[in-house]
Amino acid sequence: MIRKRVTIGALLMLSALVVIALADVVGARCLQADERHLDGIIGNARRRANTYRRVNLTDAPLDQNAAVSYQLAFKDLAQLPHDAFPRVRDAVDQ
Amino acid sequence: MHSRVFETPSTNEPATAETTFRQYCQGIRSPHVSDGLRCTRCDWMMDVNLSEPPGAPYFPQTGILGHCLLLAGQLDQNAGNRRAAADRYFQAMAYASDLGQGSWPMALAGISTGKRAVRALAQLVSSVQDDALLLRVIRQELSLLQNATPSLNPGLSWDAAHLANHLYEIEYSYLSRQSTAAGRLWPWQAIGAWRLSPSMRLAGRLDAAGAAADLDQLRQLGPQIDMDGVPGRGAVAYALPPNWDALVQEADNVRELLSAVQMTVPLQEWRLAHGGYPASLPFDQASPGYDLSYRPSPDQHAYQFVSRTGAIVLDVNDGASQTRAAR
Repeated sequence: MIRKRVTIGALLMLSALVVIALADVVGARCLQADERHLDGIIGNARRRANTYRRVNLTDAPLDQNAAVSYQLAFKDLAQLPHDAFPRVRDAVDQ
Repeated sequence: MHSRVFETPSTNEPATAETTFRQYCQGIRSPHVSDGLRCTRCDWMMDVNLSEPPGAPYFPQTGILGHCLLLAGQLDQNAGNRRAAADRYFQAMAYASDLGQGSWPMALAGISTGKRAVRALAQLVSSVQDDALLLRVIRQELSLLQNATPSLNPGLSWDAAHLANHLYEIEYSYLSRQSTAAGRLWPWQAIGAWRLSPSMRLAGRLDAAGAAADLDQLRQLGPQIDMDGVPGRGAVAYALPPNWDALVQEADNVRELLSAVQMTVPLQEWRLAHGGYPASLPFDQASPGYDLSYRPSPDQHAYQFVSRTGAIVLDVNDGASQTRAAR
């Protein structure tokens, strides 16, 4: 009787381990698919940023990244008084 | 380290456009700005860990630069130099489009600048009484701006990338739990996949929104994104800006206004040739998607463009123009 109970218990344990292992195999596959999806999303954002081309209508084009120049300009503009933006905006809207 | 001295506003000096420009806008004459406006690319080098470009936030500098470009154009226009004014407005429009490639706050500044730039172009075009050559140039350049209005898509796309990066970290945390002996007795990968599932759907929707060319599609995706991002629903919480619908509407308004302004140029050319505006549109809609109604005044010295909802998008009256946003 005891041997039978031990056997049943062992079989239940084994089944539980098998279920856990199978669930994890399925989970691992899902995570792999998720990883590819996440790679794709990050890649899409980078690709969209790389493929954007500026419209330049007024000057000879310069094959450089405008964001670098703007960031330097923003550093200079950061030294303006705190009320500069509302004042300039009001002047435009007058 | 260097410091800059800015001209202090005199209390006796009225705040005219000239004085405001002199006090706050000298920076737009710097080589950084002129070089930036000539560049062929604009990649803000966004960091997926932060969802912001390096050095951000740039507010209010983003707004100052755009509005200073517009102010420079207005001063040129007031001085009678319409060609230079048009150049400044086009530069402001291109800059607004550049801002739309960055994060949310940058896109907002881009929409604000872009709206005012298109409005200024409408004002400029309707004031041209004798310069057919300038109208031809503006018409050509406006056609190039068709797809260069500030957009909400890149901000969404970067949010999707930021979220994806965060989900990677969460996924890694589930994988690393398996490295211990006790961890192998529990299906952490299955639990992780289950926990990540709603957030994966959220990231996918944000990515789709980042690619959506149609603003109606963006409107539809908004509630779905907010629902997937509710705290506790998935591994991460996410919410679109609270004024999302208003933002999409603003982006739409800029496109609609640009569509109207594109039609003001041939109408102004018609006026130069015939002495008044035509009784009906003598050409097709610039953007059929907006289907603006053309309503000339009985004396044909004024007209309005009216949207499908009945809102006046542009009101041109004998050399003066008003837009919906300015009314």
